[in-house]
Amino acid sequence: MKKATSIDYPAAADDILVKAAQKGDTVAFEELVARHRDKIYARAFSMLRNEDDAVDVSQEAWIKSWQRLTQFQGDSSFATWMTRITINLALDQLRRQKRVRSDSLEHLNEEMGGVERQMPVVNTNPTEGLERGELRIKIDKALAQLSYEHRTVLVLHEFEDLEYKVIAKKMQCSIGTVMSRLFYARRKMAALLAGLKRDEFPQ
Amino acid sequence: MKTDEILKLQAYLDNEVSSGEARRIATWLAGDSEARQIFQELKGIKSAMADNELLVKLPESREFYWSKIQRGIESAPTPAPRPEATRWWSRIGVPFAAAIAAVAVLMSVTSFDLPGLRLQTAVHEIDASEPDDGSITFHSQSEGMTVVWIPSGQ
Repeated sequence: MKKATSIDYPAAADDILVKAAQKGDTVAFEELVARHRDKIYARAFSMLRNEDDAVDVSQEAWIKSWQRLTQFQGDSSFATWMTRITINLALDQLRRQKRVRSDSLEHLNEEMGGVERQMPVVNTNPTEGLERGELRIKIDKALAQLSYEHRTVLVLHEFEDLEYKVIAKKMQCSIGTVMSRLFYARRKMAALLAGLKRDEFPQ
Repeated sequence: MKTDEILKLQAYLDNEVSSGEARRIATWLAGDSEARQIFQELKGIKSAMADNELLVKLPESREFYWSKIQRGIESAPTPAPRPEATRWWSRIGVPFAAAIAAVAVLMSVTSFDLPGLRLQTAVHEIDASEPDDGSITFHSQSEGMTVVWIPSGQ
């Protein structure tokens, strides 16, 4: 284990730890992992919705980041840079899963917004009166019920603040597809948060 | 309402339209109650989700989680040292050195006749060492070889 003795690791800022890690200091890198591991795991989990897959992908992201650490120039925060690596690996994993999964008619309908097209507009605020913790749990449960395309586009847009064109590049689709997925994902989220069940949608 | 109109509403909500298009959509929204209803629904979801991601925790201890990463990075190469900022003279120097090397290579296979600056290839030479004995000398610079051929009658 390589260590630079002059650094107070727990107190050092991220950029100091990154510079030390870029020189091969694994103790500095371990400190970075300890600081950001929950955030990185959470991003992987929000996309994959499976604990084991999320742990594996997040660990793979840390290993990849170690290998590419000299490419990090500090244009964004280290946490943001790590999150981008994690998102890319999670998307690769989802694409692999999609290849082995058969596309059912229901799945295609999800993609095209088959059900969401016919949903009534939710007029009342479905989140009114909820405590923040309750709201977060409700949003998480609703996200878990979306198809991975709809969930991913929402996570990247609402949680990561990425623009349409960046999402399109990451998801390897057109901007138009991103816009339509985002629209149907939001409509479905509105219905799920309002407590509407699928059999309550007009046919 | 057509799908492309709805998607324009959404792009307006997400600040993904030009300022001119934004003005046009704002005017449209003011006069169309159906568009306003859909816009409000999309806006409600966007604001509900903002900063409201559930903060899940890693379900493993720090040591256990790190142990697999450590194995991974120990088998991976150590990060290469970051290159120093490139100075102006090194930016010029590298192409200049390459040009000098190219000229050197060129000169190794050719020779310059400086008085007339005439480029002369001198890979092979054949000369008769003695005009009257019939022998011929073959010399190759590139092969580093000299062959003297003496006719069998000598």
